[in-house]
Amino acid sequence: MVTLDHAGSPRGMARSRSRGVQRLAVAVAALALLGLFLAYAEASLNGYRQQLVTLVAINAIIAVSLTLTSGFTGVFSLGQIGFLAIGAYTGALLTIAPQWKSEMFLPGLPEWLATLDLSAWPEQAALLVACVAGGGLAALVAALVGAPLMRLSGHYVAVATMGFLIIVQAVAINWEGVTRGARGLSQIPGLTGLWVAYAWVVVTVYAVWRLRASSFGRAMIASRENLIAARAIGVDVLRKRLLAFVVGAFFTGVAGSLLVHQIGTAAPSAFYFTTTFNVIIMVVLGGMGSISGAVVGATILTLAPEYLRDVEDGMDLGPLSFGAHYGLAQIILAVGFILVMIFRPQGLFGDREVGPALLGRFRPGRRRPAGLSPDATPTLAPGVDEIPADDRSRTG
Amino acid sequence: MSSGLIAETTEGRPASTGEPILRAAGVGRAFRGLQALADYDLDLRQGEILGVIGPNGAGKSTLFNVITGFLRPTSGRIVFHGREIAGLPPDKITALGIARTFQNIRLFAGMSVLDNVRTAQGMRGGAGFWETIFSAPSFLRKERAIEERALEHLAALGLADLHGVPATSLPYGLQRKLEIARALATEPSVLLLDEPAAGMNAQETADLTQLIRDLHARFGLTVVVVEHDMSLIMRLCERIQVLNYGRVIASGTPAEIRADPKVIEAYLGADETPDMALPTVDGRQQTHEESM
Repeated sequence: MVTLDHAGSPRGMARSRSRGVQRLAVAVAALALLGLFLAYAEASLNGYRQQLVTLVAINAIIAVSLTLTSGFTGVFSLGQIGFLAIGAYTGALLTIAPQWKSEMFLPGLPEWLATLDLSAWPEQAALLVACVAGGGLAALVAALVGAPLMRLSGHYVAVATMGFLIIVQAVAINWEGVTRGARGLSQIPGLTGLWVAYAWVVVTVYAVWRLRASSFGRAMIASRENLIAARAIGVDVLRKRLLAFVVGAFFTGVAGSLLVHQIGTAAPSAFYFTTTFNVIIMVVLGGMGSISGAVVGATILTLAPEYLRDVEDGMDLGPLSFGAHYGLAQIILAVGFILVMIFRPQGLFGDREVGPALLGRFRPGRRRPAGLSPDATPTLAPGVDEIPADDRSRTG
Repeated sequence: MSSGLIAETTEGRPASTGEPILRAAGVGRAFRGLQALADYDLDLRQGEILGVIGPNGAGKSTLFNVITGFLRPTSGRIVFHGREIAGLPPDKITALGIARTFQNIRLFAGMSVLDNVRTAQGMRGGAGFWETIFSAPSFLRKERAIEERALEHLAALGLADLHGVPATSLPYGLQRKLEIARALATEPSVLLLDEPAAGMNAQETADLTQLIRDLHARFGLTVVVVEHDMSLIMRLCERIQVLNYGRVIASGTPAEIRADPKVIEAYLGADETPDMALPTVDGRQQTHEESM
C-alpha cells in the first residue's frame, strides 16, 4: 500500500473530509455573498444598471458553456451563438402571447404553438419552461450537428462550426413564417430578472465544475493536451467532445431564452459574428480552461464598454482635461486585450480557478520534489508534439 | 508461413509460459506502396516478455501502431483473447486490455503527475454522467477508488512522492516512467513498451530493466518491448523477433539471435552495429538494486 498522508490512510481520509466541509462552507459563503449583492443591486441600482448586471449573468452562462465546449476539449467552436439563437427563438415563441403571435403573422407556427398561452402561468414557471425547452432543443441540435463535426480538430472544426452558425443565421432570416425574418420577434414578455439569471449562472457553473472535476473533465483535458495519448489510454474522444458540445449547447440555449426575455426582442443580427467574437474574447481573456476566468471575462467585457463610455465623453481631471473622442472606448478595450495576450497569452486565469478550496483540487499539491530545481520550466520532452500524419487522419 | 511460425514458436522453449493471448497472422501495413510491415506473425503467450528489435525504419513502431489501433492493417488478422481487433479504434483496444507507451513521450502536459495517471485510471470504473453532475455518494466513492489505485500505480514506478508536480517538470527518465505508470493505470494484460530506455544512460537502463521485470511479475503482465538498447533486450526478453524492411528476419532466444548471421548482416547493412557481445549469461542474472 502507498504510504502517503494524501489518501488511503485514516489521516488522509479525515483531511479530505475536513476539506469537504471547508469547501461546503466556502460555497455557502459565496452563495450568501452573491445573494447579498443581488439584494443590494435590486434595492439600489437603477433599472438600466440592473439590466446590465443581468446581462453579465447571461454572458457568464454563455462564456462558461464555451469554456466547457472549447476550453476543456480544445475543440474551437465558432458555432456557440447558433445555439444561443435556437434557445432565444424557442423561448420567445413559447411565451409570446397568442394575440401578438397572430398580430406578427407567423403562419409557419403549428396550431398548438400559435395558440399556446403561458401568460396565465406564474411568470417564473413560464420562463423555466422557455429556458429548458430552448436549452433542450439547442442540445438536441448539438447532438445531431456534433456527431459529424466533433470528429474534426483544429481549424477544421472552427470553420465547420462557423458553417453551422451561418446556417442558423440563414434560417433565422429566411424562415419568415416562424422567425419573422430580419425584423425579428418582439413583444416577448420581460420575465428575466436578476435572481433567475444568477440562479442559472450558479446551475451552469456547478454543472460544468462537476464535469471538470471528474473522469469526464480529465478525459476532455487529456484529449486537448495530447490527442494520441488520450486515445491510447482509452479515451473515446468523440464521445467526450460530443458531451461537452451538447451540455455547452444546452446552457447556451438557456442563456438565449433568458436574453430575449430580458430585452423583449429576438432579431437575427443579435446572433451572429459580433456576439460570437465577443464571447470568444471573454473566454480567451479569462483563460480557455478556467470556469472562473470565463465569469471574470464575461464581467469585464460586459461592463467595461459602459464605464469607458464616460471616458469617450471627455473628462476633467483637475489640471488635465480631455475632450470627447468617440471610438476611444473600443480602442482602449482592444489595446487592453492585446496587452493581455502579449503578457498573459494563457489569459488571466489560464487553466486555473479562483478559490481552490471552493473549487476542489484542480491542481493537486504544488509542492516540488527535492532535487528538482524550482525554476525547472515545464518543457515538453523532445518530439512530444510530433504526430505522424497518418495518426492525425484518424481522430474519430 | 503464418501457421509455420506459430507452430514453431509453440515448441517447448523456456519462454513458453502460458496460453496464447495475442495472435497476429499475415499482418501488413502499406503506406502508398511502401510496405512498412509485411507478413507479420505473432503468437504472444500469457506472461512472456517479447523483444522486437531492428534497424531504424524496420517497422517496429508501425507494428505497435497497428496492434493498438492507431493504424489500420492493410492485410492480416490480429486476435486478442479470441477476439478480432484489427481495425478497432485505439480506445476500444485499450479497453480490451492492451496498453502502450510512446517512443516520443506523450504526457498530458498541463496536468500533474497524479492527474496523468488518474485520467487513465478513470477510464475503468469512472462515474456516470448523472452521478457526476449530482456528486452522488457513488461518484465520490468511485473518485476515491480511482485516486487510490492511481497512487498505487505511481508508487509502483517510484513516483508517488511526486504526485503533485506538473508532469512536464519531471526529468526525462521520470517522464518515461510516468508514461509506464499511466499505461498500467488502464489495467492492461498486455503492455507494449516503445523504446523505454531511449535517452537513458547505462545505469538508468539497468535499473529500468529490473523495474520492468518487477512490474511484469507484480501485475502479471505480458510485455512486448521495442528497443534499440541491446543490453536491455538481451537481459529482459525470453524471445526476440528481429524486423528488417518490415519483415521478421529472425526469431528466437537471445542466444539464437546473437548467433544469427541474418541479424548481424541486417545491422551491419544498416551501418548500425549493436553491441551484442556485452550481455552475457552473467549479465542476465545480475540484479540491480532500485536506486529510487
